[in-house]
Amino acid sequence: MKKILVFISFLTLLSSCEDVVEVSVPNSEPRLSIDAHFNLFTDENPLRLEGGVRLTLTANYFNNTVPLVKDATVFITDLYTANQYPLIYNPSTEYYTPKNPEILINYDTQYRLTVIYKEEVYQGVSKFISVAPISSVIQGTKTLFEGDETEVIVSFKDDVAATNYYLYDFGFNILRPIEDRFFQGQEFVFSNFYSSDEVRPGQSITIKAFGIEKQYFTYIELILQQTGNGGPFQPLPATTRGNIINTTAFDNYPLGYFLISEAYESDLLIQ
Amino acid sequence: MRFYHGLFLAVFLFGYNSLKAQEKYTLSGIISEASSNETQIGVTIAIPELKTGVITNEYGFYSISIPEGSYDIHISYIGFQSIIKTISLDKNLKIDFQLIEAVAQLDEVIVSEDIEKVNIRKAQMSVNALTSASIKKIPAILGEADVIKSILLLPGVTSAGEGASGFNVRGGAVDQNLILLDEAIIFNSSHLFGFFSIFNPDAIKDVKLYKGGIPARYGGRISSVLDIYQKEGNSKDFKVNGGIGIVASRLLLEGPLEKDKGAFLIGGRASYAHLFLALANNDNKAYFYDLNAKLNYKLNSRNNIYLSGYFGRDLFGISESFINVYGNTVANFRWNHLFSDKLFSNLSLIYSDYYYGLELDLIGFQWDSGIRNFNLKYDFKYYLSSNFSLNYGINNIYYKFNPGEIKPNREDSGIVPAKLTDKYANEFGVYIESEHKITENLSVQYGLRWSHFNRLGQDIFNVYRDNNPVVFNEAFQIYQGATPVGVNNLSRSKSLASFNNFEPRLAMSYLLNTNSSIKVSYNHIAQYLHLLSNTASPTPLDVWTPSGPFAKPQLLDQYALGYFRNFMQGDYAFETEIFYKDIDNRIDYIDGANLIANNSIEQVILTGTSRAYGLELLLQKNSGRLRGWLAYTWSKSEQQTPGRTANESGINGGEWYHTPFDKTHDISLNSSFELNEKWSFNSNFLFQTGQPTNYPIGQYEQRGFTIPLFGPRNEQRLPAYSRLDISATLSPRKNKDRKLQAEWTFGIYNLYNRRNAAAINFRTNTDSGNNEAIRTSIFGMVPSVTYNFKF
Repeated sequence: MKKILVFISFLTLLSSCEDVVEVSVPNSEPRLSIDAHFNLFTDENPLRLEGGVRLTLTANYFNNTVPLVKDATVFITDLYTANQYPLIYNPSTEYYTPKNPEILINYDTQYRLTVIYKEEVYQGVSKFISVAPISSVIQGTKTLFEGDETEVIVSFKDDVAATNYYLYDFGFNILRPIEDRFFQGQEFVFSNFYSSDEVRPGQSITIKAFGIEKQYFTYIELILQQTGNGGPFQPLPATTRGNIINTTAFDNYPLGYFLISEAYESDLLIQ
Repeated sequence: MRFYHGLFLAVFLFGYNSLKAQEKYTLSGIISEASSNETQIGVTIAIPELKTGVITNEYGFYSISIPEGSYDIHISYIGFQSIIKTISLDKNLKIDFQLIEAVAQLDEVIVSEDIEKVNIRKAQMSVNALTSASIKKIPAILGEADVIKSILLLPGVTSAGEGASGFNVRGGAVDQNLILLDEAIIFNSSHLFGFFSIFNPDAIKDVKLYKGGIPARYGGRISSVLDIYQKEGNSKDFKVNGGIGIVASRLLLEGPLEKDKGAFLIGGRASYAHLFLALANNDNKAYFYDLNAKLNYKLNSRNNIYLSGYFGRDLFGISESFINVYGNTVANFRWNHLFSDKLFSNLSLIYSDYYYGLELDLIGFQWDSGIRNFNLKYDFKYYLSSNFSLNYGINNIYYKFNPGEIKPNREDSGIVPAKLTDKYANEFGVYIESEHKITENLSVQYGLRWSHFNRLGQDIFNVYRDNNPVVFNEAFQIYQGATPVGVNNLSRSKSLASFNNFEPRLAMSYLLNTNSSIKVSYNHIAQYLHLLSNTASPTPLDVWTPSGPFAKPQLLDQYALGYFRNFMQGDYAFETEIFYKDIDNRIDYIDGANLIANNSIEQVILTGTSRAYGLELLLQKNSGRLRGWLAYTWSKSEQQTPGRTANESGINGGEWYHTPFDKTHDISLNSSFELNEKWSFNSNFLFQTGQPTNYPIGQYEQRGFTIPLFGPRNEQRLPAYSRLDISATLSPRKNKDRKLQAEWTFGIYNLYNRRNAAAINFRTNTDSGNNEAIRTSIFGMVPSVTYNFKF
């Protein structure tokens, strides 16, 4: 929410000028990036898993693509039972996924992810984090700057017992991390605006909610700031560290985060 | 004991003997402008025969004690006709002088008034002065004359860029400038995110910027003092002054309450660009307005009272979804009292309120925050002798900080009301300083300030294990906030933390010959308030926070050395200074610190040091039809926050890195040319090294996003900034024969339309999928027309 404040106040300030320019950027040694997000839709039968582990390397900023890593060994260990579950690479999705996603939906245990690449061992730990279901998704009538945006109003009831963090996926690469600081235990109602390029009447949109934890909330906010519009109001950027470490060579740390979220989905047809 | 007794006696007798040797009398009075009774600051009263003199203080008062005799007194002040008066001094005399504006001959029309004939004799260095007339002549964006934009043309002063509020002095941060408006502290000096300053140029009388050698009477901010005095009002005649521009207009009315005894002044400005938006059916708005009201009354020859108020507001809104309102309110009561011909005093009682509010209908909340302070100052100036004067006084400020309050703004909002804990503090200072002319060639200004800051109790104060609010996670090599182990509730009469600092100030000047001098200065200053900001330039949401158990006061040592020279009887002046600043306890932020609405700031801050050093050059031409100045600054400003133990990485690996406002080269050229009685032309040229920034050293992918990978802080630079502005002013001949004086100013800002980068950001293009560097620039070429009038 605070990000919206800063984002909007900056954005409108710039009725100025934006141009694409050529700059030369420094190069750095390639580093392993581990994108290990598991979204488990528990209210569906059979249980659906989106995500998994996607391994890539860093590349020069202006390269068209980043190298994909397909030859690593990846498995998840359930730390209470000590069972190990291998993850298999799926060429069509580019993710390593477990054969049976049900192993991941235990709220009471902790899971450790292990990735072995070029003889170095990378590990991270996560719990299965629950999410409050979406109560309703309806279309609103308000607009933003241009006047032709589509407003979608989402509401959900926060669990009063704990401090909760959520990640909302509105499609079109729009992610919104939310913390329950200002609405603990309440029904929280908020809006998202789609531009007219993204959404037209007659189209259907899908909104997903994922459960996340505090360190991930800080992490994903930083990532989104670095990919978003930024500007003079952007905090000084820094290398964003995740929760996975290189146990073989500490300084050759990987980028990325290991997160297992419970997920909820809701569709809406736009009028 | 006997030794001291003897010493005291010896000094007393010596002093008494000197007194006895020649009877001295005091000549004192007030110097004001003839047509308005407006007191004038910095007027020179010289007695060439005695090779001595004095200048008027902030209230136009002067006092000089010289031996009995008959002398020619020379009164001079740029822009006015000089006065020579012969007086016979055989008792204390009170003489007030009225200055008449110099006739508008070509040779006399002043452009850069006080940046002219450098006073090479005075010990005060590192100071630049500007008057309202010169500020109004400097071409500015959209034709709106602007105090802050004018000081940016001086050496050692830069800003983070167009659209950034605040200014940086000698590599210092924007929160390190003490901005005073008629003795009252101002927290935010800009309207609309830095596009305009809050000061109405018609209301301004005198502006001084101290970049170093800061006298002991100022305290609380370590990089500079911007001391602004406004006009008091014309107590002879009713006058109107105004201007109509493209974006904003202003009007000032002043007149007598009782002729020659009291006056009022009311001035206002408002912008109306948003109305054009409304016409285009766009319901976004951005506007500001400010109002200045003053009353002054001369009770008798020894007492003057002043009452003034300032109110300014900015409103910025995007349809009805987002509305941002903020501004300063100041109310000020001052009383000048002359205890004797030699002892002048001023008592000020000031109330100031800085408000910041945000209404975000998207999510359903209303946010209010602000700072209130009550300030009492009592300043004395004792003009002991022509070689020695003493300033002393006290200054007490009581603060209440509201870091934020959140309320739902409509019935169906899910927001739960919340309040960030109010913070309270008291800042007290007492000082004594003297200006001492030791020999004919050596003048010294030395002083000591003692400051005491007390952070008072508040409702909720977190308690941490080992008193450590920030922990270092060695596995992930990141700093994280610690979870409080408890909460304290302390009444406001108790203290959470208190700090004491002795702040010595020293400045010396040595006259090499009648045309040149060298000066040296040293300051030690403590700053107790901090503006929390971890972005490249301050955002509207930044909050001020007082020092406390987890945030120590910033402490500065500044050394400066300068050389000053006049050429060709003062037609040209050259000054150069080198400076070095060392600052302890500079606040730095852990990576990704979220400062907005954070009730536990202590969990995201670490303490480090910063330093800055540089060379400034200034060459001025003060006479003739072509006048102006060329300023060049080379400087370096950097900071370092090492880990607190050997196991911690610190910020940026504990290495020194450029501050966000470090500018290696800064060149400004200001010139004005009087063609004839009708036309005058002005121009500015600026060139600055680009601001430090961060370019990605690679890219990686997460969750469908392409993310730039960043390395060490602030290692790259934006492209250099350069700009040329020109303006032409037309004063119609009709002005000669009528009461209404009008002029038209035509200006072009950024004549060659250079797209100066305010920021370069990196994004993935959603259509092509390729990564791009996007440059944001704020102003291209902007023409303007302004109509200024007075009658």
